Amino acid sequence: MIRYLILFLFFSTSTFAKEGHLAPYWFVDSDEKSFREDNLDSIDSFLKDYVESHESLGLNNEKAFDNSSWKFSGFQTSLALGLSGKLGIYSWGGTKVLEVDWTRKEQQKALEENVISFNESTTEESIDSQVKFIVGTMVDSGKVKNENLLSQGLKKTMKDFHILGESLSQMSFSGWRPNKLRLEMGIKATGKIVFGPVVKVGGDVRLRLEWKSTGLKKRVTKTSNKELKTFFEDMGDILFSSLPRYEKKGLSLSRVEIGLGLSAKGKIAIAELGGYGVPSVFFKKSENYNKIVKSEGLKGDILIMSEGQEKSFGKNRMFKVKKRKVRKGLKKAFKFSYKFMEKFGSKVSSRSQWKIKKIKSQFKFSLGGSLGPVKIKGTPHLALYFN
Amino acid sequence: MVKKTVFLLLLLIAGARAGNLPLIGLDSKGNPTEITIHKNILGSKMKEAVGALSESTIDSLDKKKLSFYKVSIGTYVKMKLGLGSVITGTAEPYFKLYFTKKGN
Repeated sequence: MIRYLILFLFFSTSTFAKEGHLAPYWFVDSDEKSFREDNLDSIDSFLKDYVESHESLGLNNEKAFDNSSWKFSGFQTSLALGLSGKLGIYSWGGTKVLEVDWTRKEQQKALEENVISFNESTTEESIDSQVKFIVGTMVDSGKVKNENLLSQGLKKTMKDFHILGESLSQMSFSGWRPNKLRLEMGIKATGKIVFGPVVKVGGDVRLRLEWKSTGLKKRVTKTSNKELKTFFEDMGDILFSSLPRYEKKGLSLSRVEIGLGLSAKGKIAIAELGGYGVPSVFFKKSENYNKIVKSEGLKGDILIMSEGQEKSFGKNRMFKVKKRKVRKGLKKAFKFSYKFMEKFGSKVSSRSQWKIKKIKSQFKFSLGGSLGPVKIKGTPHLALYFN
Repeated sequence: MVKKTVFLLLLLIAGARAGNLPLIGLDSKGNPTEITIHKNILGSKMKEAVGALSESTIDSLDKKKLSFYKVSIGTYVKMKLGLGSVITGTAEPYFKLYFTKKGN
């Protein structure tokens, strides 16, 4: 009897305990040679069931829309990680670890969110006019009460954002280059602008600012920020030396989003995405993807900033991480995203009318400097986009 | 006999766990929370919700003459779960729906 009990305990711990959980391998700074690489087999059945429950969404009532000028063209589902590393469907707020965009097989066009776009042609006057329009619309609809508070906050946020975008457009980079800035914000009913993760969006109005260079040369009088340029160059080198230069089959890594933070002394750091009212930056591969990163370029540290939801951070929001360690973490983040994508893709039936269009995976640095998939209570420092 | 019982027990546990999907999030106090739901129940409730949402969205998009051609709607769908009136709970999976004007 004891023999069977031991057998039962063995089964219940070794077979089921890790089922549905990501292995600790993904959360620690591991010596790759001493670790047996995890192939995400523990989330295999979760993904199979998950895909099965989503594969036929929206297909049963399509005929009802035959006479309409609109169509249901896609959907996005999200996954979250519990504190123990358990993977599940994102619900009730918190932070997503993965976003999956599904589209109909014949569709290729990208879908845009509500975005306020900036580029070299944006002027102070055009910002003022946009602010006027947004404030007017929100006050008229009764969503915001304090017109002045919203107007002042929005104007300042949009102008600061534009200055940073203009500085960025003056710099030149190779390899992985910063090509877009993004700032996510929420507007409260009081007219107050909020940044960063919101437990649940609720009634707040969400706005996204995006600065993207059109390549147009413009004489900008603002002094270019040397600190900013050095940071972007360092990050470009780290990305270039950690991410694969070849294209694999299927979806490929198109962009890397990194949160930016500014210390009181003006130091730039990798920070949580959208956590500080400072935009995040998107890095994209240059078309001419040739670069030599000298080993000296990977010496030294890079600053990481954290809001400190983990108690261990205390008041020390900034910590130094060796560039080589960041590179190692990025390699692993890529490995995780790629393996996830392959596994997820393999669960979608070839007969399905939906296909995966885009996958976004989010990662967070720990105090020790390791980079792992973000858990439900954390805020990510970077995101990888595959499409 | 014991062998059979253990085997059946293992099968039962495996069977009970199969097809269950966890939903993970934070409650109103910011504490992590988790609930499991069977994939068939989730699938049918999602189908129902997506059907109703897309119908009402397309209906209201048709009524307005809009200059844009892409719309996305992000939503939590509240699903009541439970056995009779005794054990109840709610699941709120989050998803986004995309709509485009035909011909775009």
